[in-house]
Amino acid sequence: MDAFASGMAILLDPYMLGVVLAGTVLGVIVGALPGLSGSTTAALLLPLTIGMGPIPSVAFLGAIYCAANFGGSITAILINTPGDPSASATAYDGYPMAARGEAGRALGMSAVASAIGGIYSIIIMIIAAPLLARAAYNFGPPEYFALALFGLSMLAAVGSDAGIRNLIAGVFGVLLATVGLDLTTGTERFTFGIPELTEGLNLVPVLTGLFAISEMLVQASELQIVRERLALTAVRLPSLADFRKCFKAINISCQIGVFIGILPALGATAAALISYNETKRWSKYKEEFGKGAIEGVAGPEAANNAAVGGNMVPTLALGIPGSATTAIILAGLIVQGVRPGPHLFTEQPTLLYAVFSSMLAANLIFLVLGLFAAKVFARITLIPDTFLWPAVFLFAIVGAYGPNGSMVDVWVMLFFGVVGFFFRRFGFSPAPLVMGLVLGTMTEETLKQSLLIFDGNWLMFFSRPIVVALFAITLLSVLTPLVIRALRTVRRRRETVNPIEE
Amino acid sequence: MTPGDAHSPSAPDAPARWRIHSDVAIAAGIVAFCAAVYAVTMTFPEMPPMLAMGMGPAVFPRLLLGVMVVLALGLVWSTRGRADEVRAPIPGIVFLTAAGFFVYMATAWLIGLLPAGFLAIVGFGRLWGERRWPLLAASAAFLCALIYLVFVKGFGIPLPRGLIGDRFF
Repeated sequence: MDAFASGMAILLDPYMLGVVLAGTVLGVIVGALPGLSGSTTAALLLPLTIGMGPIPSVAFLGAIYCAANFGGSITAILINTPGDPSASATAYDGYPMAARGEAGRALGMSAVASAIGGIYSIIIMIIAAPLLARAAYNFGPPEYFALALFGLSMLAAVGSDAGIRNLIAGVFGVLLATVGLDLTTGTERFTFGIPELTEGLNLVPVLTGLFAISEMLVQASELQIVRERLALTAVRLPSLADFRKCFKAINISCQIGVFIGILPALGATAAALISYNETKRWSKYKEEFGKGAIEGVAGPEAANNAAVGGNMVPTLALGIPGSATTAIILAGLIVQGVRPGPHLFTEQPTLLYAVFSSMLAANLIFLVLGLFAAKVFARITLIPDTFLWPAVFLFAIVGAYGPNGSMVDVWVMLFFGVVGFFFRRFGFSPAPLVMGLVLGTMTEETLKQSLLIFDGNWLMFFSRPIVVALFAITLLSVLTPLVIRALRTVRRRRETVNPIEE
Repeated sequence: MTPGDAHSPSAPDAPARWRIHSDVAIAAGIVAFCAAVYAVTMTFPEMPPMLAMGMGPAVFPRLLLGVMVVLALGLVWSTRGRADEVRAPIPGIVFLTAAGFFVYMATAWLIGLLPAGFLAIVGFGRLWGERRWPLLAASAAFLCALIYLVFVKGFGIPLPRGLIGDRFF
């Protein structure tokens, strides 16, 4: 209880409040800029947090994460281009609402639904994260190895083709984590004689390259796209009738968002898209969807913000990131010398409650900003790409160079920028690669430690019930999309062979 | 099927049947990459069993390469009955932007990271179609000053001054 109180008390510290405020404002701004998502910004600003200390650093990144999801809805509603991928479902109905002169109403509902979703998920996070950590407290290396495998396997859960691609990217990320000195044998692996690589690939340049530099190349390929921008009238609070109409949508979406968020690898974008479908399915006004239904704005916005708190549960309790942004937050904590996991709850409870309170504050701040300053933030979309992305490039260069003062890190960043561009080009997402990279060391270390415990006998993994259960879930999450695909193919073939019977 | 049928092998689009699905090409690229990385693992020194403690330095990376090959085969399998995605060609400006990264690195080596940054902002802005020179130069100067104040003065991170900076200043 003392830890809870002292964690919450950080908001009385003007410095911490300033950090959270800065993170929230930055989060809304970058969320509103198409292409510059929360994960890109978190990666870009990660070097700035190194000198801050663990609590302000995680509070700053957490605030960006919370606010960027809301910021994305501003552009989704006004220019039909989600500023953050998690706001893509918001555009379906937000933009038609803006087109008929109700941009203010849509943004107002977006701010309120986002804040409700965010605050709900933080309450769940405060309850669920310590419970999950307690359950995992007695885990040994075999259980952690199985857990890491489970986290990686969830990359397959998004669909058969995308699932395989995600798994390939995830395994590639784990492979990248093997670069450097093998701690058991002292052998250098994949360093190619570059001394800077002996300690492994630094996370900051890899993340900055994959997110910021690759996005710059993507933006270069989209320079010819002209975005039509709609005028924003004053943002007003949604009416009581609007709330009554959206109550069910927000309620359903909060549950969906938290649940999806807790599952490793599935983030706010998946939560928003699923909740949009569910909101439509349970709505009395299905025919309004796609034409400017306010429920179509409330549902996805509540879900993508609810996923934020959900994402943080496995990240903090198990050290398994729930999404790309939480992988970056995790990287930020690792850089600070803090390794998230069950022991964090007993060793540094204040840090955890500080995370909870700062995220709570971020939600309240962006609610106020969303309701009273959305018009100002909407103007940010006017910054031309010709000024924005060269500036991002320079910040990325300095950010990659800064932590270690090494130009090799800048080369690494540029290399991964190009890799990230081709990844996206061929349908691979950089997020699973980051998850693999973050989980890679843990996977190899725990496997080696387990084999030491088992005296080299791999079959001994199956003597531990939790490991067996986690392996079973892992196998299920990898195979289910493939089985579903195979069944669909068989059914389609039957339909083609026997069209009359069908 | 008649010879004139659009889907017959003699029709003009017949070679499309033999075109490689892009995912198959991607899978082939992944397998080739894995083979190359496997070759690199062959250069790792052999460790005595006592030191390797059950897993030598090459075992885990090879395990991952095996998984990647299996997944690549899975990707090939997933193309069955799935139409290939049509991708627009990469615009030339993307290659020019990527080339700009290397030009930047060469310039930074010569004149230093921050002056090269000024040129990069102006250069990329011009490359992307911005024609307002004074505005570009002003924004570049502002950003460089901001970075100098935050990183060099604020965090005490000395930025590389380049060959010219080191020799003459």
